[in-house]
Amino acid sequence: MGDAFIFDHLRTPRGRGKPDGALHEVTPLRLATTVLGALRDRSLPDTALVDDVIFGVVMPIGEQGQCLPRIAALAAGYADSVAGVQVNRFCASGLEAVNVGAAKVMAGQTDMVICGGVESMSRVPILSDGGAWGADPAVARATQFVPQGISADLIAARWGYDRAALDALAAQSHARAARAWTEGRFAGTVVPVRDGLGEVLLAQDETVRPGTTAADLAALRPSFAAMGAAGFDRIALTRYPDLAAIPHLHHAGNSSGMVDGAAAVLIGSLEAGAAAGLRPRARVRAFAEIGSEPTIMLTAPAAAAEKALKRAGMTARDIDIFEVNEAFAAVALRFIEALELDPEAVNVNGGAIAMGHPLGATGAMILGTALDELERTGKATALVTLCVGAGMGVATIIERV
Amino acid sequence: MLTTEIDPEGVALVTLDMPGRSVNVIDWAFAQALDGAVTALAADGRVTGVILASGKASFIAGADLGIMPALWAEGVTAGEAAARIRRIGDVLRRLERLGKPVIAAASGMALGGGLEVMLACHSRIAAHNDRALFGFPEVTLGLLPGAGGTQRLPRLIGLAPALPILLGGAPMGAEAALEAGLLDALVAPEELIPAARRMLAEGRVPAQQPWDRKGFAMPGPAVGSAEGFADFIAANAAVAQDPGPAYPAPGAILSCLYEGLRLPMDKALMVESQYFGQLVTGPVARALIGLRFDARQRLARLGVRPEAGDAAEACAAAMAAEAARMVAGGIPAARVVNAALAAGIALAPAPTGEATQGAEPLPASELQALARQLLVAGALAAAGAARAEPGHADAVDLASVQSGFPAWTGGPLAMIDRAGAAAFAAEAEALEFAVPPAVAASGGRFHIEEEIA
Repeated sequence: MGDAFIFDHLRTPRGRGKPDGALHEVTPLRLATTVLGALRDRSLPDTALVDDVIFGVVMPIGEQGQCLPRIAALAAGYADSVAGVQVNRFCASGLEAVNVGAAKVMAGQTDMVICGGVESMSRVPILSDGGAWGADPAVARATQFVPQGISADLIAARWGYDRAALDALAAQSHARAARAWTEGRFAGTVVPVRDGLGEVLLAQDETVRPGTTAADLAALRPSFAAMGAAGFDRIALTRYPDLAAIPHLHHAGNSSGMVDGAAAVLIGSLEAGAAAGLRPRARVRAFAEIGSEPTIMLTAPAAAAEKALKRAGMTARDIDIFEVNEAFAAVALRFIEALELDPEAVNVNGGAIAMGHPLGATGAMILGTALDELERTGKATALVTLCVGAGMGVATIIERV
Repeated sequence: MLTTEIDPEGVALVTLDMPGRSVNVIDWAFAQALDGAVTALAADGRVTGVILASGKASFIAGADLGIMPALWAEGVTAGEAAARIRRIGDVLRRLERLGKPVIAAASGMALGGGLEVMLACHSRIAAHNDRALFGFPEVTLGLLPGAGGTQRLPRLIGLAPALPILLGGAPMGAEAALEAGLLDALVAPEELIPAARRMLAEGRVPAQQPWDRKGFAMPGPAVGSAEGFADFIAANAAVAQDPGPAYPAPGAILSCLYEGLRLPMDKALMVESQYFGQLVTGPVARALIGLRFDARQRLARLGVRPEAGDAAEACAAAMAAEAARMVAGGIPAARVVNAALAAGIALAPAPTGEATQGAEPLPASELQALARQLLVAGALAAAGAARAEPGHADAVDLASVQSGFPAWTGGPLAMIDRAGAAAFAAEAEALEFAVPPAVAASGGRFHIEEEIA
């Protein structure tokens, strides 16, 4: 089995995923061509060296449909020989794309591949692709479906996280992201998005609010109380009957924001990198995906991480820094608690609560964030993980070379 | 039962008037008669339009529940039950594909199958009277409208407006039915047939259903749209809470809508009949019909309702005491409460206790086992207070359900009857309950079953 190396990565800044967001006027295709173009300019003048573009797209319909990665490669002026494929593992799609690409490299069935993802949540809204889960009565009944917000509140109830703990993590996410931007930690990775005339539309993550305090967040109203009262609390309590109630604690300020953005990671074999004149920055050490109980839904990062660690012959103590997607504050708190981690080693430059969660792209973005942080601090190993709809989790371990 | 008069303009007035009954009902004889009428109307070249009317003060009261035992008889599979109920649905499908305009003229109430007949007509009018009721009460009997009701109603008025009508089961008055789009017009009672004739003469009754036209789109958001997706997610959650997972009919109705509304009508009707077959051959429809229809009928015939408040109170108190005993024995109070709620048991008072951290998920079977223990406790108490007096068992069942025993069981004594006295006593003893002599003495027959006329 060969090794898969990461040669480069970059991302767009994340724009608020609403009509007043800075990237709303940018099509998802142009978000994708922005990162593909920048990656070519910086690292890959000869695009014919790439076999495939594997992108996560979670709402692959409308203007995000039609196998967007192939169309984006063509639109970015890549060689005709560069194929494209879209993958969907809900919120972990961007990391799944990395894992699929790395696996093909490891298997010797591809030489060089661009992995990543794109999502314009302002233009192709979340849940607009429909689907059976939750909507098909037979499936909803059999699987005890509840929406993710209820699951997040269920996690908080099950492990006793109170509103203050959730809000504190959210405030910390903003503080860390703001510090990272101030200190220029994202400078080498974030590519500005420009309008048709070449003017910069957005150069920094739009939703970071420096100075956000837990006291500010305490004023926000819970988002999922009405949903819970409409029947979902009853479903969750039927699955977790030893809980008397589900206090609704998550709100817009301690949950990930909906944003627009794209990311790309260049992965290949050592030989392919050498042929392109590239120096490897990290090796993909191991990865794993896993399913778990779907009603609580969002606790699988710990199990996915343990599965990947086992595969790598490592323990959590062998990992220098962790990135766990802040879909909801309780997800990060539970991951830290389950693996008994030092909170100072987790999401050290903030997360999706501050910067947003562009569904298809996030996994690739936080992988890149982890690699940059390893390089900045001279550390060696990172584990990246995301919770995923329907109870799944994905984790990837990288180490610098 | 069906008479047809054809006037010189070619309008056939088909009048349903079932002999020996105060109301018209849907049964096999009706289906056969309507089938014959449709064949004759199709063949008769003079006929240019059809008015379907009733010779009684109401239109059709609903299905004759007397047809149900043939559908749930031992050995009848869900597939066979579906095939049998389709005999009625097939006739209605033939009616709406007659190729000639058909207008339903309702003198009054049209419930359940009666409303399904109206929906299979191309236009619907009703006499304006305060007693007329329209709706689909099937869900309250653990069933669904199995002759096209779940498919035609949303195609006529849209998915979201159809949901409360199908899932709630509460009938509505004539004006509400007009407002909801179930009816096209309300007219004075004496104007009913003349108005129907006028509508035919003026060409206001189409000869084809909208859903049989090419390019038909349901009113409102499509079932596969983002709005439809959200409607189903919300409705699935709502029925999981009320009436809860012990009642299969609301979920089956939602499945009929989710699956059927994407299909052409003939395939959609097949899907609907399959879900009907599953419901009618399952235990809950039988229990609910036994409680909400048969028991009330028997008491109505008896003319008095024996006092059963003491038995109902004993039943509720026994369930609450059993719940408290479970908690005292170390089962988390929340688990007992949630098990009761999932089974539709209203515990009064509900036990309280400390919240449990790190609670594990439990399989549904564990909650069902706890709920069953509560039900056995309640039923034993009700049996202990049962009196060998005509109608008392029915009164105990109805009163106990009022007091928190779930309706899907049919009531505590019906539950024992259905299990059989010996089997129930054995189950109770295995759960370490003392079994009152009344259970054994009942011989499994608290209820003296009588033929319902």
